[in-house]
Amino acid sequence: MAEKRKPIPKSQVELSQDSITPYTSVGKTPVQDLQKRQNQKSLKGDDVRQFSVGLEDVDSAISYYFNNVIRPSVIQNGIKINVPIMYGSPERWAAVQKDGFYRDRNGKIQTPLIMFKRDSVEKNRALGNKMDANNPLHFGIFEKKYSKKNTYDRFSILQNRIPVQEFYGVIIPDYVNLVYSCTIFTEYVEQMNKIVESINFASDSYWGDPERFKFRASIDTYSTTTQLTDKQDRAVKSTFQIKMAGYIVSDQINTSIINPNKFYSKAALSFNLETAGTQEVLTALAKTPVETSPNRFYDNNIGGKINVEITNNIYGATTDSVYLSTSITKIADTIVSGSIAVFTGAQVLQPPTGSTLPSSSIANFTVYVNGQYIPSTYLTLTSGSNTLFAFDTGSIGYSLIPTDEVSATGKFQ
Amino acid sequence: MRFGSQRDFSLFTGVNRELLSNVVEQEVLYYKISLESTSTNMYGEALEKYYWEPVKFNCLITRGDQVMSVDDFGPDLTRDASFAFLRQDLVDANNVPEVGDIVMWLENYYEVDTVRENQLFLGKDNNYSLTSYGSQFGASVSIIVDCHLTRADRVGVTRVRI
Repeated sequence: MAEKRKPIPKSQVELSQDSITPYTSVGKTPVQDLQKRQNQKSLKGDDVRQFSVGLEDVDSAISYYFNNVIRPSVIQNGIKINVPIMYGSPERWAAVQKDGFYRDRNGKIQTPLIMFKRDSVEKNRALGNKMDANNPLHFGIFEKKYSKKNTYDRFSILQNRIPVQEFYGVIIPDYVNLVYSCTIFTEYVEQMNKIVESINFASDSYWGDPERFKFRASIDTYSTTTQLTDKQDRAVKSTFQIKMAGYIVSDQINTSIINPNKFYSKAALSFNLETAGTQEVLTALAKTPVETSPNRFYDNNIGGKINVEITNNIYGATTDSVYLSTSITKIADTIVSGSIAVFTGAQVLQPPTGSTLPSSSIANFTVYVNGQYIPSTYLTLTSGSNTLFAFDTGSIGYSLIPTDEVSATGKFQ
Repeated sequence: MRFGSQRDFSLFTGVNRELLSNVVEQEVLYYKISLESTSTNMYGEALEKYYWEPVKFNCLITRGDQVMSVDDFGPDLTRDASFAFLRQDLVDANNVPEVGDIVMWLENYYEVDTVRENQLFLGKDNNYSLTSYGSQFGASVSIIVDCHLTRADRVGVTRVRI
């Protein structure tokens, strides 16, 4: 008996695609944008590496800053000793055989020594967000400084082209807060003091290689203990935490949806002459030969040609369009009683006789007082041989004075 | 000094070597990492390790029991073992045991945790002496390495995953 298998539910993409109904029942199914050849960029010969910032880059920033900027050192037996820094819990063979410089020949660790290791990585949701890892929509753009497409740039001048710019899309990083625990191990408190002072000075600054990446580091508390244990050496240890504000751009395959997304700027724009009739009659078949696409929906008329006129289903009369397109601005001639603007000789345009359009009202005007927009709810329109706009001074909070400029835009004759 | 001369020690070594080679006959392969070829990252770890050709030694093996520990990853095998080498064998092979070396026994790989050199012929090591004649008496007899069973995949000597 065949094994009974649990049905697999459809993915979101399958559900979305199933709901799409082609606009034509014949012909080819529309090609998705990502599958179109013009949207596919070749990376052949492209030596630009995929941009990525990893956790190791953040870890390296700490190591670099200790070794090259802080450079902690102590004086012991009259000799200046640079304090080595190591990442915690290395492999045994590496700790003993490869990095044996801080051990004696018997394997005993020699101090001073600084150890750090990463404790946690916490996502910082207060900063950027790529929205959806399955389809990252937010990305930054890097421009490549040199493009091979511009090799013969003098020809570009002759051909009226500008140099092409090559761009690469890089996804918005995941911003993270990292916490490192550090331990300083010295023989003496005095040595410890010097090291803590130098590290404390570097707190709240950006750590890292200037040639690579820098991350903001902050240190709050140092806990120092002097240990005097039976049958063991006296030891002075300080522990503290480094809080780094980092960011991560993974180089895994799922980030390559957008990273790298290569595209070019436009070298030239050309416009061709196109004309359309006043009623946009589509009898010209959009200059497309019928035989190349014989089954278009607008070709289904007799003879493979169409004779379609756009008819106005809403407003049948052509004079309506004259009324609708009217928008005239006038300035009030006088201010009366501190609340009425008089447009002398201006008359309100009404829809043509027989039109189904509503009569002109205050809603058909936009009124400004000294450039300040006044809502129509604060206005009353009186039309006649002159047009009067009465202001609700109580609502607008002031009265008009004769020098005020009152303008109205709308259905004036 | 009248006892524990190098001649006595040579006899002692010969008897021990015969015991290990012809009677006990426990054989292991000793791997040392090539420090020149193996590079580490900033975490002190090497994703790809290179070893010198292994050296075969006879030794005494103190075997721990196989212990299955269970955690969230499921049952896991651990085992401790100590390998006691005749020091003269190591000297002849120019092999210096160190922490982190690998010992292969029964097709299993053991990582060296501790190197113990604490068995001295007549309680004296001829390599350390403050007298002019002291270097002719006494000797270090053995080197014992305490190990734990390590994952063969990490060692990388043989292909574990198919």
